[in-house]
Amino acid sequence: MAQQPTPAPTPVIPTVKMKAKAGFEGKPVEMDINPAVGDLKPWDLDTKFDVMKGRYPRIEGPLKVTGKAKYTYDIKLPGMLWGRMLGASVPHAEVVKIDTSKAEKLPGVKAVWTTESRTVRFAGQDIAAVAATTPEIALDAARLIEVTYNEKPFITDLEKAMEAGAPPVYSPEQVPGNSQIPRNGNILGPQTGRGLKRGDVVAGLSEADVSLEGTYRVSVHTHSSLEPHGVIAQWEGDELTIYASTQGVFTVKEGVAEALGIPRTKVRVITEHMGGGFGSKLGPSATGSQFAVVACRLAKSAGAPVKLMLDRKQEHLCTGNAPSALMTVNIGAKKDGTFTAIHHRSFGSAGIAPGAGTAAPLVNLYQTTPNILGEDHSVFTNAGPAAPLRAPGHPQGAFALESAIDELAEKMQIDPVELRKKNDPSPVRQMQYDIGAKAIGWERRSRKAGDAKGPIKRGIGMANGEWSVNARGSEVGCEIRIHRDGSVECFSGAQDIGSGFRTAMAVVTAEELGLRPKDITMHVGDTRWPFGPASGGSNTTNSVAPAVRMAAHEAKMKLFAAAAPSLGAKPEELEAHGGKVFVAAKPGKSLTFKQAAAKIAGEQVTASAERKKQFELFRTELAGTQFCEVEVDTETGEVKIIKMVSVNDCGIPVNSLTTESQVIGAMIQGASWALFENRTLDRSYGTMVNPNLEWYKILMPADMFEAVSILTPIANLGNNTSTAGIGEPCSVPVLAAIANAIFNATGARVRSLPITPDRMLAALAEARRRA
Amino acid sequence: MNRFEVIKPTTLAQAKDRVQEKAWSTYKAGGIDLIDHLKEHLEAPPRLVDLKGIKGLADIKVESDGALRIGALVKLADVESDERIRKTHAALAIAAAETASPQVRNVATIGGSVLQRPRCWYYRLEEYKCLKKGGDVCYAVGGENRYHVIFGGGPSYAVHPSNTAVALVALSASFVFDGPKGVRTVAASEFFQLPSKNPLVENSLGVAEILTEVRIPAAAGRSIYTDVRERQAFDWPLVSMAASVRLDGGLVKDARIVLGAVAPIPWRSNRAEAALMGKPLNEATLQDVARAAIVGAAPLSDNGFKVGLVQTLVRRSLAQLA
Repeated sequence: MAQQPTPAPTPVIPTVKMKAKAGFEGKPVEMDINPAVGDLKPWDLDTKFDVMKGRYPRIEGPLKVTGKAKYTYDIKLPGMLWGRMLGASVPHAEVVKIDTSKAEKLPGVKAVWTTESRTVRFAGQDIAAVAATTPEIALDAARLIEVTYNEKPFITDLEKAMEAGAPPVYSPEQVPGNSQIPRNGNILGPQTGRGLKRGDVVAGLSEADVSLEGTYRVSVHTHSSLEPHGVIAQWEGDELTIYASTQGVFTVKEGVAEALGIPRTKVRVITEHMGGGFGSKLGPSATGSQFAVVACRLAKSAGAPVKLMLDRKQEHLCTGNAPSALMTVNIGAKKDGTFTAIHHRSFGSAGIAPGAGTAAPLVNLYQTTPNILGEDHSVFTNAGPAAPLRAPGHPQGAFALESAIDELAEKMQIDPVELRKKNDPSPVRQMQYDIGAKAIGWERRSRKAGDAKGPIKRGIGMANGEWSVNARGSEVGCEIRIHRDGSVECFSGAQDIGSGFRTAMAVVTAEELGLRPKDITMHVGDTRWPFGPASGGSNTTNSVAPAVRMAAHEAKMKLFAAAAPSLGAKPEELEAHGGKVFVAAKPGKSLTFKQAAAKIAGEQVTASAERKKQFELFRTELAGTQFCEVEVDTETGEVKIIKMVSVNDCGIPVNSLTTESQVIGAMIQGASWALFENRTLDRSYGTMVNPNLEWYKILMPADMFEAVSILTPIANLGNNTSTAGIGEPCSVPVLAAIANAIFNATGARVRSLPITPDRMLAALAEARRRA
Repeated sequence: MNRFEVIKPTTLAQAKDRVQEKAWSTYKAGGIDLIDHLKEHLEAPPRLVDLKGIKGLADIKVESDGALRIGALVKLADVESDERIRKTHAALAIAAAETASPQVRNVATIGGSVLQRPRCWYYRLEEYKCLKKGGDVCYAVGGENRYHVIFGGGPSYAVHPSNTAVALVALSASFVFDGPKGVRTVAASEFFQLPSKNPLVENSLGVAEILTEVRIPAAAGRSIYTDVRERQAFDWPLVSMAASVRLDGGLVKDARIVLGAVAPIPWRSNRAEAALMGKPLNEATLQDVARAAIVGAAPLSDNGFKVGLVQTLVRRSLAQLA
């Protein structure tokens, strides 16, 4: 994941030994775990929850639906100026001159910034910026900036960039990325990441009774967050406050402080509400722009706060995207369906950035396959750098791998679920297959693909998802305050990127204190509060929840100490449930939570906690599986998704309502990617022809389908709450599940995304030719 | 964005005067297409003359013989939901309903829908100085042309964007204009112009002319509008089609077949109409008509798929009128 600080050396942590019950209902597993000294026994299969796993509308929901929630985009400060970034108009050039004189003379312009970089490598790269008294003047001023370019040959097409003699995006000494990785022209690779090589795929494929090769293509997808990137930078003396639309308030703080050469203690970053990021808002600014740093400089130079939000076009050009991919999968199996080898070879373009790999799903899926090899290549093109997008590289990779497995199942005449079951060592997914199959009605599926009568055909398909349990093991903190009046506050600096983090932490606090989530006042998204991770890698909930639980537990112990004398008991004999504090052995002896709080000697009790190390996990990977039903008009090529069922492990869900909502969001985003989204760069000029939401098409309500999220709670014991992430795993299998359902409906295999009517018709024609 | 003034006249005469006072002034109705042009700096009018205060331009009237008179400022949402139009001139109601989104249809007018400029991505991006903007090149040639024309192209290859115009040509509508030289009425089938005549415009609208009314004769038979698109919500068709057919004794007596999103104008297919005349609406006829509809198609590098879609739409749409 980009922009994560380098981890500090791992200290030796004293631990205690304990046993807990892991796994899922009906299949408990007693596990030995070694939590750090001072941590709590994890919530496990035996835990009886009062609040956790329930369904709670998000706390800020009423503010959002009434328009009262102030997003960064909505914030206006007194005396605030409006910033505007000007991007390069050409894809590859040396900047000869940037003339800002006309812009500077425009009345209302208060500050101007120009880039020091002389090399432009993609259209949309930062060139200059202005700050002015109105957004209109700022736009006019940006348009008055005259840039002289010495244009150079460029390349934007993945496959053409791979050809010998293609215009180089970088000169050999400038190529970014690990210098150990082979490089050849614009190609960086092959790279075989951790866990991507096992055995010998050549030997494995030769041992196979049946083998299959498939080549798959995915186009570039841009994040298209509804709220664009942007900040408001405000200086008061040498103190800098930044309101940011970000997935990482602490990342912005650290990155901006470093870029400006000021101490981190002088920077405060606030994100109250966030309008979408999906991985593109993990850095201090964006992967293809330094807008946040520029806004701070403009504000300093103008002596006034500056708001600099990017527009929709800039969002598409310079704030990241999911790389394109050209992938070949070779898979071999014995007659009984047992895989002998999987070879995933991938080329993709992350624009001017490295990191276009897609082989990673091989790490977690089909772990019993004796021979695997994943070989990734990043191909540089003159296009905006990619950014993580909801399981970086995994949806593309799973599209190839899971399509190939579907093709193998067809070739071997084995049911696709049965073929996967045969090769899947995950006890979790073995359970999930049947749940998903039942929910979609797998038995309704045509035995022979394309068999349905008439031009409009329905089909059902599926594909597997995966992810790893990622968490920040230390640093992450939380503070809980119980006031004398019984009110409770929870402080976590981490931001709620729209996933429901704020509500989830209220649930954890309430569970520990025996209250309801609505009883907890949450404070999130502010670097003045205890450290929290950037929301990437599906790690926010399970990084922060254990610290919240520990802080709540410690505050509870302080409350018990205050209340114990009135109950004629020792503090350790008390429990808190259902809004009461009572003697565990004599539940009749009780105080309401409020009465107990009134016994506090001062005005409040405060407890802070820092997350301790990750425990031993039941499974290190997160399992998921996706089912899909589609309807294809075989004469027009139009594809309609009827229903999707996503079955997922997310540890023990904190708030089932918002967790399901995240999964539904992943299905929508994946469907949009599979069917519509396609960044299109002009082949002759290298600029994007659809930098809007008119021709860059995202799924809208009329194309919505029945989306069903089924959570399979797993006591993973990875931390004291047994929580895990959900944002990314559920987005991994969506593309492939749709393509596989389309095959079942039509007998036509579409190996290139998005599956637009023309591609669907071409695949149908190809299938007819073969038949 | 350029600074402009907004004038709100109450009569057509005032409107014409005010628009002619200042060079490059322009009329505004719903404003959907106009605002897009302003935001992308494709136009910089110093004055907008808002037509919405002029009475009598927003009514739907049905004549005693069943003919329709639709004021140019009638909103697409009202065209879509008008029971009379739905019953007698279904192609128009469906074409309106299939346009854009509910939000747009509640603002956009039928006049604006007919007069809107192409959505070609090169035309709509300021940085491409294309033929339609007085430049020398149509960037679709050798460029990204999957959404461009297969009929009537050259020297510009942008498709006409209007769904309603396709239906109106099929329904033999005419347009009433009020301009400096007075009132004139033009058949919809004559109004639109190919770029070979002048790539800067898509029709014969005169300087300072106002489209005031759409007139549609009483329905002769049944009509239909259908389209194929990538996305069901808020999308432009890949191919659309409107047809009006009158049957007598099971044989086609009158037919108009108009294709949309395939040409720089609503593309009336005379060959398809000829193939249909006097025939029963059966599968054999429909196959012939579909074949006739694609005669002369000249796809660009990336839009050959439209040819097959035309055939499918023609066949399927006409079958629904049987």
